[in-house]
Amino acid sequence: MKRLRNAAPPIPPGGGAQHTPYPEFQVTNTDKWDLDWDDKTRQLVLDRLENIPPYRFFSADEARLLEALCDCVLPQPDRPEAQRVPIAPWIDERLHNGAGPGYRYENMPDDRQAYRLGLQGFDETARYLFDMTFLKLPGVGRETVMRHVAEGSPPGKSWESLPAAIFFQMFVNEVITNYYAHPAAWAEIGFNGPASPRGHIRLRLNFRDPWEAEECRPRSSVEIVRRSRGKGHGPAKGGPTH
Amino acid sequence: MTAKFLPNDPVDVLIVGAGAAGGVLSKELAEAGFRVVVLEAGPHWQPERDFVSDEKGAQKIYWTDPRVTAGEDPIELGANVTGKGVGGSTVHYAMVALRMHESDFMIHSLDGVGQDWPLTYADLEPHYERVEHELGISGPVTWPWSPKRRGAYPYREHPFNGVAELFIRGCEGLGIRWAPCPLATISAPKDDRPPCIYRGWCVYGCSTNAKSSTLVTYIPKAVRAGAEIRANCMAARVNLGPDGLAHSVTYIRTTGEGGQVEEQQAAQLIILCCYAIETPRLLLNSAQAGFTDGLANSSGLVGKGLMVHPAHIVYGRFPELVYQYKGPPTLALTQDFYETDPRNDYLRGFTIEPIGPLPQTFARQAAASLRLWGQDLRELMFDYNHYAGLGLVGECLLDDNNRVTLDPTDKDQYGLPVARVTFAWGENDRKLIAAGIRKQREILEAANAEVTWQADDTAHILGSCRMGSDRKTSVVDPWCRSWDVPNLFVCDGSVFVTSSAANPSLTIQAIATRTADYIISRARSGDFFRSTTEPALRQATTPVR
Repeated sequence: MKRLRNAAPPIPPGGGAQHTPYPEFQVTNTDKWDLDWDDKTRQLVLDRLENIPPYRFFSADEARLLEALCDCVLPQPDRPEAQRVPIAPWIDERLHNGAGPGYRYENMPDDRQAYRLGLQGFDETARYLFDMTFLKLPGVGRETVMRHVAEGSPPGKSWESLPAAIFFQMFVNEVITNYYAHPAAWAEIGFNGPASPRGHIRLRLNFRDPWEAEECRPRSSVEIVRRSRGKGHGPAKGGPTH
Repeated sequence: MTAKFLPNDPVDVLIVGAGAAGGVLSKELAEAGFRVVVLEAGPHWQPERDFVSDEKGAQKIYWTDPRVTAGEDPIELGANVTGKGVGGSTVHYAMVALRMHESDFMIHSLDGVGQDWPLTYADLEPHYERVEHELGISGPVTWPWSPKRRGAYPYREHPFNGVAELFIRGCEGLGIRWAPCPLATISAPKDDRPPCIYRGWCVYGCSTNAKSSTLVTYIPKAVRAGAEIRANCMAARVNLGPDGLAHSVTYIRTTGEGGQVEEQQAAQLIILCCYAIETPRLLLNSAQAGFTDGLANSSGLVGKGLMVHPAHIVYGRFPELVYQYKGPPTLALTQDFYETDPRNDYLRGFTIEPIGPLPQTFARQAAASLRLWGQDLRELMFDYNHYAGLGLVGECLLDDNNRVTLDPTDKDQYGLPVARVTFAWGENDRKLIAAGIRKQREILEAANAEVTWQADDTAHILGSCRMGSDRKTSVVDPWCRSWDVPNLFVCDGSVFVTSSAANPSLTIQAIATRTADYIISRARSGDFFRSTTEPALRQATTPVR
């Protein structure tokens, strides 16, 4: 395990994000890599960074569309292409392996079929609204298509057999899972990471351990919440909390 | 692990499921001298080797075999409800270790809703005490609510994190009583386990070994006492012998190479501890001559009456830095709204608990509930460290339309019909949820939250094979013994008659302790449940050991 000790991956401060409140926070600096990352977690994350799986489930065209859709859910215009967190390959890998979340809604097909239909559906909606494929659309058009799908009744034949709002939420969830599985994403939000084996000592409000992220320029989300379309209602399938 | 017992050699007790209840039963019965085998569908974890500190990487600890969720308010299954592997859901639970209140056992008598349990709080009290000591529960010196405690918690309470501090500030501002939360994670060394170091990864498997899952408490003691934990073995059906007694369990063992082998283990006594979806599924999948609608189902109630806790969350944004990821997520709570209050438009009540989701969970809830994506979602997440959330654990009333059945089409990787879970909130549930959310919001606002938002959620699965004192209206008797098959027990969250408004693990384990005592005392008096002539002692009184 010696090799792992010296192999801290070069994650830029603040995850390389332009607007992060934590521009100096390094989630994998030498001190943290030694004390906050146990061997098995190091191995797992290094593997995630170094071995991006090839597309095996989606066709090349489907993969390009999926990448564009992932980019709409969590855009990374502030990162050079090579530093962007890859998302679509992991969705492909899960579907290739046939792994599921442990349930499906009674009116939903299985995940593989849902994704195939869903990708078709995004293109159908784009053609119906703009007479163009999704990939040919400029950003504003893509956002309009996304909104139609999110709101649950987009035009397009595929959506007749695939409940659009449920699929949209399932897709957004999967993009989130894979984006916030990357140390650059932890760095940009000031999340301390594995904290194993060091743990935490200063737990209280406004206190932080010296190795936790220091906020340099707060960016309040109050306005985002106030103008959000969901108003804080509706089912949130997040996972275990309490 | 090598097999200790041969499949054709009937052991004394075969337990299916090595979770909260199965862990307790295996230890208590093995220490009493029985020959015990436990079948567990998932792996036998070694925390230091298997538990990674990574949200995505930890998915293996959850039950992610396929299921179907249906009904007007379909429940989120998967990671939200069930564990897979030795320790079961206690590997990922949030460790909240509460006793139910006296009133929980008699809500029909008190409020005219649901059913009364065939036992009382007093029947469970000594068993709660034993489990609290075995797990090393850390808790407050004084407990402001019902039930009155006879003694202190074995370990001192944990320090508060930022979320708990804000919760307490809000409660104090409104005159609401609060207490440090009793938790199944140790605050000082116990046996060979070190105390909690406040990493905050509790619901992804504790690699510190401070968390008192059955994996590191009861199960090692069971193994030392001679029990065999047979991992990676998925029970397919319970077989009856010609005498009408449960004879064996057929299971599918996944080999190291990923192959599947069908095997069978015979036993004198069989106890199902697979939790409130898999236990009824196993009984329904065990339909056979004499029980064409599912084993032990003469009441028709196997799978019916499933309850889940409304676990709705309200988040508040604070000017302070909260760092919500630190420490056990729930370090305080209030039960001031637990009991029925005639001024309310609903019956029964709720507990409110601070929570501390890690980034993926928080982001998924924000995205779904605020309908965020794009730059707004990324921006909101920049603010993750300024949020504090409060979770609800509310009472859900019994409704036999909420149920577990077999799905007519879907099969799992073993070729077995999967569970189909149908659920809808009742009218009382909806009113209670609305009141809970209002109160959560008030507390956050009293703590100076700048903005709040809500995420709908559920937690814990209960009922579906409930206990009772009448075989026509229940699946098992007050000792968790099935009414129909004398040597078949069901012992897990599925025997719950009411949901209560408390996290259920401690009660599940207290019931399992009591059932173990009962089995031991009956066996010592020479009766090992082999007689098909009814009835021996089926009322709820504490057995003499």
